[in-house]
Amino acid sequence: MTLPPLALASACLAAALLAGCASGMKTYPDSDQKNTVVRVKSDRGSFFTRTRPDIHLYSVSSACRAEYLGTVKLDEPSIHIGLPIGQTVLLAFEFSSSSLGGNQASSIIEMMTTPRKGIRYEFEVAYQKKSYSATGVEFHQGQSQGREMEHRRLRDCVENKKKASL
Amino acid sequence: MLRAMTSGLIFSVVLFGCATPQKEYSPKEWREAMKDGKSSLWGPLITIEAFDAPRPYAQIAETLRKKSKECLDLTVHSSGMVKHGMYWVRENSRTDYKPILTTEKGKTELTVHGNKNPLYGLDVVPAGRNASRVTVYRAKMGVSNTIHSAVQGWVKGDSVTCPRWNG
Repeated sequence: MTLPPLALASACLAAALLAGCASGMKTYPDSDQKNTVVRVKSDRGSFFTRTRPDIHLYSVSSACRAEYLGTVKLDEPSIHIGLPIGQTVLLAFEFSSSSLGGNQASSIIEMMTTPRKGIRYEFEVAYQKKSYSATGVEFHQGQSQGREMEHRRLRDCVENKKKASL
Repeated sequence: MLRAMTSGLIFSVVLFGCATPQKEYSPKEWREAMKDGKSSLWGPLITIEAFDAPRPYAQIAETLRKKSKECLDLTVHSSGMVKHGMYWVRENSRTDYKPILTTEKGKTELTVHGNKNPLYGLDVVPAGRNASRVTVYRAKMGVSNTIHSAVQGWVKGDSVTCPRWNG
């Protein structure tokens, strides 16, 4: 049985997420070149329900394959990280909750980008009582007005590749 | 009879996301099926409503383009303990939500799919210079309702938050 590229990409990401989250979750490596700040607003849930936002980072190859790089726990209001320059990266923002009864749930918002030299990235992540969101803005050096980043998923990468080959 | 069965299958997906129809419905076919379903057994559970939003059409179309990609294009995983006979077992589920937005001839259509099944539809057309006519196709409960709470805020300009899918 041959899987279509879209299904294959989704399966790869799911497998990668499982590999990252269930067994071998590793910390995203620290870098001297911190070109990114993540601002976090999180209400942390209640006595009965615990909530937690994380970012899982993947490098994405030209064949649209995702390789797990590590996870950043969003447990502080402001976190600085370094995204690799010139390498397409997938940021999978995971909003997870677990309740005393053993129920667990998570939603994953994906954003794919290729960081460039001289650009600063700012992400706002909010996990609050009735909503959550993950947005990003990129700033050119010396500029205070940024450009909002598009929400591109890994499956968009596959779709673009398919279109290009038609 | 066949029509009733088809409607039943569509609405069980819309309401509970729990079935996989044999046929994949296009946004247009699904809207037609929802209209048919209004007069069926499932009628009380679905809503097709129209209202005027006090914002220019182009502004609403742009908001929907941006917010649908940000908030409705995601994967939701859930896991819980379910009783099977004498035993409690953990059940896992995964839903891939995907918004399809089309704009042509002065009309914008948003259809939100969950695991490839349409769950929610919204059409917008201009209604004068500073207003738009909005038609919504949805269930009165479940995930369709969750989506509607957020989308309604975007369309009316009241709110910009994403829906909280997992409670």
